[in-house]
Amino acid sequence: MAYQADISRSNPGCFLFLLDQSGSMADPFSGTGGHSKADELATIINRLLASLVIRCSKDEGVRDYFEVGVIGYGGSSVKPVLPTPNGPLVKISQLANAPLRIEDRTQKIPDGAGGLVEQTVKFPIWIDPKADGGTPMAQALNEGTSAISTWVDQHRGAFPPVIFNITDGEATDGDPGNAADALKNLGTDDGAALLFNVHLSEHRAPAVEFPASDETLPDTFAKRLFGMSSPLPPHLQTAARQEGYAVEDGTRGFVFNADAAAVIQFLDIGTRPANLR
Amino acid sequence: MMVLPAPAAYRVPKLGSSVHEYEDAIAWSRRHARFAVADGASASAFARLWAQLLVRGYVAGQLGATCLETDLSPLQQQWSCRVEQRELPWYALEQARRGAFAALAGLTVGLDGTWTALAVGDTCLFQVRDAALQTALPLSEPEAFDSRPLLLGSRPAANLALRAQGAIVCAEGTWRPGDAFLLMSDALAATFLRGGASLDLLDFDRTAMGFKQWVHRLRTDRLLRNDDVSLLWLNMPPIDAPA
Repeated sequence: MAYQADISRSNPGCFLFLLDQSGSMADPFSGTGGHSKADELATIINRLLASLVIRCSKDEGVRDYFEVGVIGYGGSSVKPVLPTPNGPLVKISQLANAPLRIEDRTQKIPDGAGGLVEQTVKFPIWIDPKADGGTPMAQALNEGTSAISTWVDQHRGAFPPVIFNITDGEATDGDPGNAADALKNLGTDDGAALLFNVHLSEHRAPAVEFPASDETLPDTFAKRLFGMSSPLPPHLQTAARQEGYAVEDGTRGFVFNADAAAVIQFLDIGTRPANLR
Repeated sequence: MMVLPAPAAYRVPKLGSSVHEYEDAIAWSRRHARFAVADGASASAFARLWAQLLVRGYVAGQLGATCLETDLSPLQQQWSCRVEQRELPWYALEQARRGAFAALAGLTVGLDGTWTALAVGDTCLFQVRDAALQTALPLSEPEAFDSRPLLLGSRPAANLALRAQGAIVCAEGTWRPGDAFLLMSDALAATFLRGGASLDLLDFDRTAMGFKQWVHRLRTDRLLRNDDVSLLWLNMPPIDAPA
């Protein structure tokens, strides 16, 4: 059965993030008081990376359950964003210890009794907002295919790689569908690579998380990204339900105008208490 | 006067982890006739310490079902002191802020032939008599095990809703000479229930090495999930048996 491989230090998983850093990302993000899609993207990716690190951290440090890469695309540039001396992927422990800076942020946290309390939390920053030039999304997906192709050759027994593409959807280098298909055609002995798309839009449309059809999506960009997204395999559907999402057969790894940090929890690397928030 | 025999205790860490990374805990006190197993949640940090504090607290008689949330307070303070005395990197600070989590199953045996038990999470207590399962708590079906149980948190806020959600389970009963009590962390408990809860399933030579080899065999045959495995096995003696 696919998507059942144990994720461990001897058999790590892989996350690759493709970040849209094009000029259109400077436009305002839906429903916010003037902050841009680039700001929102930076928050999402920094939170995703932090969730991943925290998920892997134990008493003695960070366990290398994952290798992680971040590729930014904007203008004429498609290149790794993290300092990665040996290719675009780094061990999660290296990422943990190399943020650009760590900010203190105030966060409202459930108090366990139905209310919220404010707490100061550490918020590491690896990626700052950037918005410049066109959107070479197809080229970015091709770069991703190149990086993932090498990785799956070296990790045949691993849980298949998970790729997040975070964008406003407006590719300027042609239809990215073929490049997305090439990426999804890669895989390990445990299944095909999973492509998740996180769509940030200036449309004031409600957030949509893991839909099973594109009917409620407001524009052609969203519908195209939905079409490029991998269906959630059955056991990830179960994990998504446990995280509180209303998923069904046909649900795809697509999120519209919403955060995606919960996806990190879908991959099982051990017991996660239901009362851990 | 009857004195309970020492139980047998077996431990095997998750495949790929060292013994230092084993996050379950087992403790007992023959003097207090108390036995406990806890299973620290792997998604939290400092869970080994929390699991150890829980089993020691239980066998010392510090934890009862009635006021469990309050009883936990001294243990939570100990956990905080131990964790916060170190200088921690940002990710460990975040894990410490969230707290550690663990499942706990505790058994108290009365020399008059009674017992009481407390369980939270998916660490289980089984009572077996004449090859038949008498008691299983808090879970009795293999399908009931998943990777998102409600567990005891080392931060008080994490436990406020446990009782309302039915996660604090207590039970009482009677025992007879020859009964076996088994306390198991979740992976083994699920396998035990899936196999019909027969003592014949525990097919190893009662040595630590034999247990390790048996666990390895079950994992290889995909009959046991890869997790820390703990078993505390208490055979009840005849009422008038010597120590």
